[in-house]
Amino acid sequence: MKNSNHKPTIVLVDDEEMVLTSISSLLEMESDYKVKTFTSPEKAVKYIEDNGVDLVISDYLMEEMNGITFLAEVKKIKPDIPRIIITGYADKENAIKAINEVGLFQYIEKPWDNSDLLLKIRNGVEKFGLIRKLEKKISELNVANSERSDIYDKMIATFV
Amino acid sequence: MKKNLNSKKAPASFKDNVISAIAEEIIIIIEVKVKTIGSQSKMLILSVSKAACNLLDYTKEELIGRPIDDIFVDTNDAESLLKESLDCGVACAKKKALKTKSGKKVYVLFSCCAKCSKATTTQEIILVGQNITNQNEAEEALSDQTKLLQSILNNMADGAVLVDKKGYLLAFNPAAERILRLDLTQKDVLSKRDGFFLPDKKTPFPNHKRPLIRAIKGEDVNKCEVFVKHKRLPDGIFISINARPLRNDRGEITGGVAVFDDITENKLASASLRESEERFRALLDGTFEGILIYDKGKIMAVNNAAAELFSSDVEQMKGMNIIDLVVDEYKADITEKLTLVKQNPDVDFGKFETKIRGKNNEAFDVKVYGRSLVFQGKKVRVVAIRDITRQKKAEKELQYRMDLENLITNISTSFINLTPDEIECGISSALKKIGEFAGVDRSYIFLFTDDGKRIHNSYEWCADSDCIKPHMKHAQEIDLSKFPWFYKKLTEFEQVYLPSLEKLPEEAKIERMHLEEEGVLSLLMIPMVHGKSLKGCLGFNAMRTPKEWSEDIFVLLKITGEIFVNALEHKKMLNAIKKAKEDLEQKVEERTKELKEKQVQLINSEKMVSLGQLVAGVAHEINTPLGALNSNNDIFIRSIEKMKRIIPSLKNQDNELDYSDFDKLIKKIEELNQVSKMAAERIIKIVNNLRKFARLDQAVKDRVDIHSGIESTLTLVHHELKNRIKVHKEYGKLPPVSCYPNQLNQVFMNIFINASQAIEGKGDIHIKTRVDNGNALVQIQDNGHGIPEESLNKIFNPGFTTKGVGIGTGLGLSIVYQIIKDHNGKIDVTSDERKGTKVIISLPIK
Repeated sequence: MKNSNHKPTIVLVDDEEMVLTSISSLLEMESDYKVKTFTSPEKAVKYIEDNGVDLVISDYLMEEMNGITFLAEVKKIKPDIPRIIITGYADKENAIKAINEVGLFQYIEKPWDNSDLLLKIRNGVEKFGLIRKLEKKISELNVANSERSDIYDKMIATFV
Repeated sequence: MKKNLNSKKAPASFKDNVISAIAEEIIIIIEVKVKTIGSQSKMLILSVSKAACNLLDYTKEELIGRPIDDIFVDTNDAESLLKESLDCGVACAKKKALKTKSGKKVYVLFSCCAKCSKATTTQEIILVGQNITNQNEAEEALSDQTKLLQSILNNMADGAVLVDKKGYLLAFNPAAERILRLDLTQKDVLSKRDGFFLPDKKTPFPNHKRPLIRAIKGEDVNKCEVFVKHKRLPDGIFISINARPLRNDRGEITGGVAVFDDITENKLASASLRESEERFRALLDGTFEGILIYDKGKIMAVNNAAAELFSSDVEQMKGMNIIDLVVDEYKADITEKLTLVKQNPDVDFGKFETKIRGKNNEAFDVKVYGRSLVFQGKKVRVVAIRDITRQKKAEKELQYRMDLENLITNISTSFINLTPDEIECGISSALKKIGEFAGVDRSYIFLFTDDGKRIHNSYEWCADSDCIKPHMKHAQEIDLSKFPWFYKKLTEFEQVYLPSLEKLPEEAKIERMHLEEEGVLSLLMIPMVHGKSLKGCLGFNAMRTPKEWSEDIFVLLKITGEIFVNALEHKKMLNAIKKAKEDLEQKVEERTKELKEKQVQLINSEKMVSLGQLVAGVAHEINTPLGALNSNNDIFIRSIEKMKRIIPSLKNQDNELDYSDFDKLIKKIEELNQVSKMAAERIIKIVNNLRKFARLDQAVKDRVDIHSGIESTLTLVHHELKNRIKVHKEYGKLPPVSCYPNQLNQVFMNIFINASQAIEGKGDIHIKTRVDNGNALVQIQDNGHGIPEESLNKIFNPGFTTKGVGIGTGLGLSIVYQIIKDHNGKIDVTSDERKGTKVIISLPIK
């Protein structure tokens, strides 16, 4: 496959540097994902807009921007990217509300379990990869279909 | 004039003939010329009788026309005699000396009479005389004897008077004058026949009754009593007169003599005696008191009143035994008294009361007063008996009235002081008092229902007797239209008074039937009116014997009825006020409670919210670094694992290096990583419990495991308990309970903290859970110092604290209570100051 050496990109957003360091260290060690960390959600949004990203992990409570708002932005620009929120806040009710609003892929509570986190990230990335493959196939089909209809038109034009 | 004169002359011859016919009498008729009287001797003899001629030795012719002086020895005698005759009309028994033709002296006793004729200037005087010459001589002969008699007469104590046969006074003694207080020489005395015993002018004293007149008619008058009264005897005297006729030798009556004595004193004495006797009799018969005189128990005399009292008559009662008059019950008493009288007749019992068998064999109350007196010469007992039956009855009635008034006064004053709660009791006791007093068998109060159509027996008193059964129970909510007559009477505010049911009119047929059925003999019903409306009635029934009440008692009972109705209305009003007050107080209390609860809830929820937020914030703050730490530790472990896989190949490549230290180091790191992991896990658990406790994520009702709530709470209070208090858990099988877990955790938290604070030093907390009758029971028991009894009922009050100001908020247990209440559960705290406190929480599972 031409995309076999493609490294999935994970965007990690938290206003706490230590969380970023921890998770990125884990991912570096335990996966071959490319990890892009941001303490500023805005910058993250910009990055996601300009680059291909396979998964976004965001903290919930951040000074600059609420994790939900941030992920809503992400959804706006790249609706297919799986979004994971990781929160230390105990208010599950609000969290669930957020999940429903934004359509999260996963919800993870702090302190997180690394294995669990890894599993969820992998699932997300895989899911995203599958979706992208599906899209690609669909577009290929569409192309094939349009080509076929073009040919069909031409044949009709030729014969008619 | 002449004619008159002549005409006068004619009868003169007739007169003369008459005079001559009365031969024996010496009669001289004298004509007196009035004008010449006293001055000249113009008194001429008009006519004379034959006897006069014989006496004087003149012929009739010689004498007629001769002056009178010629025949009188003393001319003054003639003048005085004639003057007296003229003045008085009569002159009696005048002894005069006459001289005969030869000058011989003869004595004549004259009585003169003037024939008065006012029309003429001449008057005739008729002198009728008696020759007393012989007598006079005899008199003189008897003079000694006479003098003796005279002196006897003069010295007699009795009065004596002598009259001639016509009743004119002849002689008297000084005593007569003294007794009669009369000058007997006075003409007015002398001129009257028997005119000296002058009775009171008002008393008629006819001639035939006059003693001397009777005497000269030949009667012997003995002890004739005459009451004499005149000017000089203004008080009058009684004289007793003995009169006898005086007879001459021939037995002819010549006059009368009367001897008399003043018997006034005797008379008065005997009169007063008689009077007193009469008075006594009158008193005896006139008095209303019965009087009995008896001796030795036998009646000697009684008066009319006594006879009437015993329905007998005066004569019949004589000889009766006194004891038989007394009713049996008093016989002993009277016998005793009679015995005492026998011993001492003068004994005085004073006034005493007894009962006699009187008229119609009825018993009479009498008052008796006895004493001894002398009667018919004997010492006897006299008793006065007064019938006091009526007095007693009146006294009884008065007493009754006074008692009744007292009773009513008592009732009314006692009612003033009664509180509304005591009124019921007061009315009942007043009914009893009145009922007993009136001697009825049932007294009661009927009160109208508020619609005024029905009536019910509200209060009742029944006499203590087997035959009187209370009827209050049966007499509730009676429709008054069933008793139209009663209804009519009562609504007209009229009392119903029936001494007997016979008095019921025809239209009260139903009432009568009803009363007869109940056995009522007499009835009195008094309407109880308040403010012009009928509130009920006060009633009295007699069931055993008929009863009568007097009119004035109605008035008093009416007053009682008013007292009752006022008291009841007063009570009603007070109750209404009290109720309104209580309602108001209750409302205020409810509002206050509500407000307090609201406040508690508010504080509670604020507390919860802020606690939850705090916990959430803290959890978040911790979780982030904790997450990093935990993650990093995991990465270390992973790294070491990787390193350990690399080391064998390193060992093979470089043998010069000593890897034993390296292995030791790795082992140490692994060891420490494990510690770090455990430490991190512990922190994670704490934070997790903290979060669970706050359960902001579970602020909705949820079915949860109570045990996990208890557990997480215990974790949070671990620092309070560790090394000091041992927690013993006996968890039963509890299904999930529908609750607000965060609130419930707070309840556990409060109880655990209170328990740990109650335990000084080391102690135990026992937690037991079980299901009981659809409820989850959580029992938390400590062995601390307990709650004082006086505080036990206040522990759930908001603001109540024993921990001192500033230490506790005092809201803990009140919030607990509120939370359990919100869960429809129950919390029960029992405490013993020695054994500790036990809290049992009961929550409905569903």
